[in-house]
Amino acid sequence: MLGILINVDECIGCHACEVACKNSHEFPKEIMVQRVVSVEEGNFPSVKALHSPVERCMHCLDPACVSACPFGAMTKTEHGPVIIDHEKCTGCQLCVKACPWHIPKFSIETRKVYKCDFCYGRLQDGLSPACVEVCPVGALKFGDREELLKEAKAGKKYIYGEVEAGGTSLIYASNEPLTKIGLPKLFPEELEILAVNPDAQRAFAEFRTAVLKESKTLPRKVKRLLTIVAYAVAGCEECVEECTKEALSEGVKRNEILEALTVACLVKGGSALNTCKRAFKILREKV
Amino acid sequence: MVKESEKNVELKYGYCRNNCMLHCGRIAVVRDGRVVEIRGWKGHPISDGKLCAKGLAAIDDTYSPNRILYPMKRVGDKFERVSWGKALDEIAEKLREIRKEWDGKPLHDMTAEEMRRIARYATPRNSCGEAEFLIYMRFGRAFKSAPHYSGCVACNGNWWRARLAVTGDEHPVNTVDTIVDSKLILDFGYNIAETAVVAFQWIRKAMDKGVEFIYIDPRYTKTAAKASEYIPIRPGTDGALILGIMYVLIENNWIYPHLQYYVDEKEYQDFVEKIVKNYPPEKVEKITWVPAAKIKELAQKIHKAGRKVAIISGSRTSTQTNGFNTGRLFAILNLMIGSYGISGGGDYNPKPGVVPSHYIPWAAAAPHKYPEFMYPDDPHHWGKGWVPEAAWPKIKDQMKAYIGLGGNPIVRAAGDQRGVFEHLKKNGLVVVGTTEWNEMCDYAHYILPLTTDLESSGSTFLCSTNRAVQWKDAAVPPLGEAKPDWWVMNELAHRIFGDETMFRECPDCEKRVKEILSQGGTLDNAWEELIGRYLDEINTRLSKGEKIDDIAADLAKRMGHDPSNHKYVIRNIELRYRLEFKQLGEKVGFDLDNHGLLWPYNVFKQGPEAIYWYWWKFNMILWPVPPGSPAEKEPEKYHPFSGLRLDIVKQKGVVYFPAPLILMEKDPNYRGEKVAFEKCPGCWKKSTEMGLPDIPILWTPSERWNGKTESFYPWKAGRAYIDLKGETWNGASLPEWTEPVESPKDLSEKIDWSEEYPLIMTTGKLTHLMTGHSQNVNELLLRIDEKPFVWIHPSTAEHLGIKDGDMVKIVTPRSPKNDLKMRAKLTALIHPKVVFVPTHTGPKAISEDFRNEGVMLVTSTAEDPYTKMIGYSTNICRVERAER
Repeated sequence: MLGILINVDECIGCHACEVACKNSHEFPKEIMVQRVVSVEEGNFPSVKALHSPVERCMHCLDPACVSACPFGAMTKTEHGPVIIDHEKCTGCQLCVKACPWHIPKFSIETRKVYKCDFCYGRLQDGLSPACVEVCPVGALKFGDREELLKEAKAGKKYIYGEVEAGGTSLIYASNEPLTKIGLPKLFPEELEILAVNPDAQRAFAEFRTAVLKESKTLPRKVKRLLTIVAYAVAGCEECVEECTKEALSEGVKRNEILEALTVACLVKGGSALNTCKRAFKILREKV
Repeated sequence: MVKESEKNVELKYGYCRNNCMLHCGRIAVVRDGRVVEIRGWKGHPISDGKLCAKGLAAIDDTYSPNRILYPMKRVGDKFERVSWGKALDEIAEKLREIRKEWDGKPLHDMTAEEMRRIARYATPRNSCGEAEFLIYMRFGRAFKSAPHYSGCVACNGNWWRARLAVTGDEHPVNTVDTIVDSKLILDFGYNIAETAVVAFQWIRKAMDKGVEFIYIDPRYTKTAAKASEYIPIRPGTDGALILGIMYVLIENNWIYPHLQYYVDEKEYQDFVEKIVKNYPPEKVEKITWVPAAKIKELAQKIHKAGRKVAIISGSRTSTQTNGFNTGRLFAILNLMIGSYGISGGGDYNPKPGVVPSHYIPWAAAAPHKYPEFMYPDDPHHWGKGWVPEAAWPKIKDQMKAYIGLGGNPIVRAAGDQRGVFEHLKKNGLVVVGTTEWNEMCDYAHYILPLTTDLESSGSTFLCSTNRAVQWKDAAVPPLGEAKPDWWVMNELAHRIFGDETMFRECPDCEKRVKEILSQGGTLDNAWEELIGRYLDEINTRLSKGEKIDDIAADLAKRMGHDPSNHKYVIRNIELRYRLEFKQLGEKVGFDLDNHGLLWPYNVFKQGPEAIYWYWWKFNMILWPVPPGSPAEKEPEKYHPFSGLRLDIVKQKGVVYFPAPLILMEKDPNYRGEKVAFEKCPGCWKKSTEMGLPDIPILWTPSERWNGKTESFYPWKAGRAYIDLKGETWNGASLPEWTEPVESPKDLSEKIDWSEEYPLIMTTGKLTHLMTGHSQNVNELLLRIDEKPFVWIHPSTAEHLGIKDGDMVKIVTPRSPKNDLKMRAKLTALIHPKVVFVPTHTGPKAISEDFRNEGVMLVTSTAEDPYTKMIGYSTNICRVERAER
């Protein structure tokens, strides 16, 4: 599995990667598929600044966009890059909704979406991605994902992409929390309890992802519906709400969720309905 | 993504000349005659495969929809398209008219006013190349066009003049990759991570080896963010900090033990007692805002690092009213710690921004050996005619024409340039060469389309990183009717000077030439009569030790010519060596003989390579190509002067100047000197080979120039001769630090809000904004990085009632006539008493966020008293909220 490692602490915010990316693709004029941010903290002269490319496709190991796309335009390739077949893309933007970071960029000009493709064409020619090649300070590295993760964990305190959204091919590493450059925490909050035991936290997150993964036996959509029903029966309002939100964002339909909940009523009657109060609110809003 | 395997794909190797002067190796990928990709050149000694956003965005410059692609002429308020022929004919006619006002006078007899009739913009940065840029200098000398504004000189004039004054070499830098050998790096404000981006990798490599990188700047830049340590400092006080460090070094006797080879003992003692002793750390703390303990710590670190201290100093140490002396202090510090002449030590500016338009590295040599060739842009060469750009408003009534091929004085030069160009627009001639519509165009009578970097062939030499000589082929032919700047200059000059000869400096000679021609004779006949038949005599008398002017005076007497004019004819190398050029030209197939005509009318028919053959004729740089020399025997192989291997340079290579022939012959892998001051320019030996200890060999003469001995041989007397007293530089006296001309009354870190101008305004660049024809019109670069807003500290902004993003007015002593409105960026990355205004914005930017009147509208016009360079980057100001 291929990966790109961004060493945030090395980035000097020069924007070369941004321009190299733009110039090595035929994106519509207004489209840039990543941007470099600079953030500051502290008070003069005890100040710090961080720079990094952000808002770029994470190339998830289990991409929500691939599941969500009704037209099969998104593909997770064998070695990791997630690519778009623009012939099939209709611009429905379900991928944008499904993506935990809402990365794919919609072009008004072409009515299609665009995102980082890991320089898939260059990879075919034995080259590395343009951003990696051009970085003047070597802040981006390209190679085997596991090797990059090992390297990152050896040197850095904070890693992003190891487990987020089930693990991604794009990894960020820094000695500063990566929320500082705007990467959102994706764990449900209760997983923070496990933070005292990072191995446990990791294992739990991996288990969760593995269970809910799309498989030949049960499609992801069905598993989503099952979790909603299970939490409704278990009586956990919050969980029902969260799972409903996630299901909707992945393209599960409102009436599918409602019909699944009738099964919950079968098992637990009126109290199941009560547990679903918040979920109903969301389902009404989302219409 | 372009695949090399495609049939119609071509790779064009060269260097990037798009924005800064780093000159990174660059590959342009061309498909079907169009540049489709820019790639780094792995292994290139400057860039090793890396490029920055600006270099990568070169494609957007070339194919920008905003390009001007045909010549235009003003008709009332509009512009009409015209042909090149018509534009050039009309411009030449106007320039000829202006020349008539002093015509008949030899150029050396012109008055200051006459020298000011024609103004130029001239800098290598905006030219196709450095050798190519020399066309401007030739044109300027032919016209004695004294007022010329050069962005490079404005930014770095003090920097390199100071190095020249102290070390004899204006460009005494080691190659940037050798910084990995240093033991300590001190960077005074050179924001490498934003302005020399690709060079930062070498700093990074040094840091990976454990070298400490200490960065000193009023502003916490992207370079500060990566430094081992950041030290804030008050703008314009770097010289005082250096003196504070010197104080501690002297106090502890941490001084290089070989100073006797460089300085007169009495002068040195004077310097220590009269100057340095006045800068104890406690006093320096009050001046610079750098704590005394920190100053002591810096001195200690320097001592611990031994000779391998790399000192980097940015343009803002130069663009100060105290810039010349500050530069001298930097150079003297290097001497005092012995950091010159060793890998990892000394001056380490990635792109020194030098403008050796003179290209006289051995500063002592040329003016004395060839007195007719000095520093064409040096105010003391132009003497009476020259004024710095900020003083152009004072002489605008004397100006009649401006020729600027590239460059943008309206937004780049200090002083009321709008007033100057408004005047010229009404009363004179304004010729603007550009790639896109910019602020200069509003004032132009003629707009001439120029080629971008990707469309031009050209060279680097000395101005660029590592003193590298490089060659670049154009990646694609010029778009539309765009032309390289050197072509335009040549076409103009030929039209103007076509029928004048190089004898014009002596009106008696020129009169005789015209007589001979009108009687049916040829230029060959004229040359033979006026100088040819005397050549044997001249050469014999020269070899016996007679002076050229004395010989000339004698000949003049015999010919009945005025000796004060005739000497310029006899001094003229192009006339004395005419036959040798002719022979050389016949061998190589270039017509090097221009028959004594003032302008080489035929050179550019032979292509840009021909420039090399004329280069040394244009500006007698080092030594001429003697007949029988390797360069004369194998001209395809050897660069015509200095003996550089042109074939290597053109073969995707980089050669570091100087690279003497003798060493290249011994070692085919030798590519020039990476470390400055290792070898003596007189004999090319190391110090130990001359019986001296292992010490840096500076390029100052062995003794002070004096008319009697006329000696300039470096190290002949076994020492250099640093002019600490500053006698040879307009009485600069011992190097000292002085307060910037514009400073608040309260010099402490606290803001005295009762002052009219309580804040300090400093200038500088953002990552994506650099010079080039296409400022603020590159649609890609405008979208990245921060907007050019004025940086204000949040506590200062709060006091002024300013919120982030508010429109504010920056008020300086140049107000109310000149006001600058910009949006505010609140940031804690700057000292509360300092505001930072980014340069390179202007009213013609295509994006609203980049549109303002340009910071130079409000900057100081005060001059450095010794060099007349403008100290524009330390200003006093106040900031007020404004309505748009």
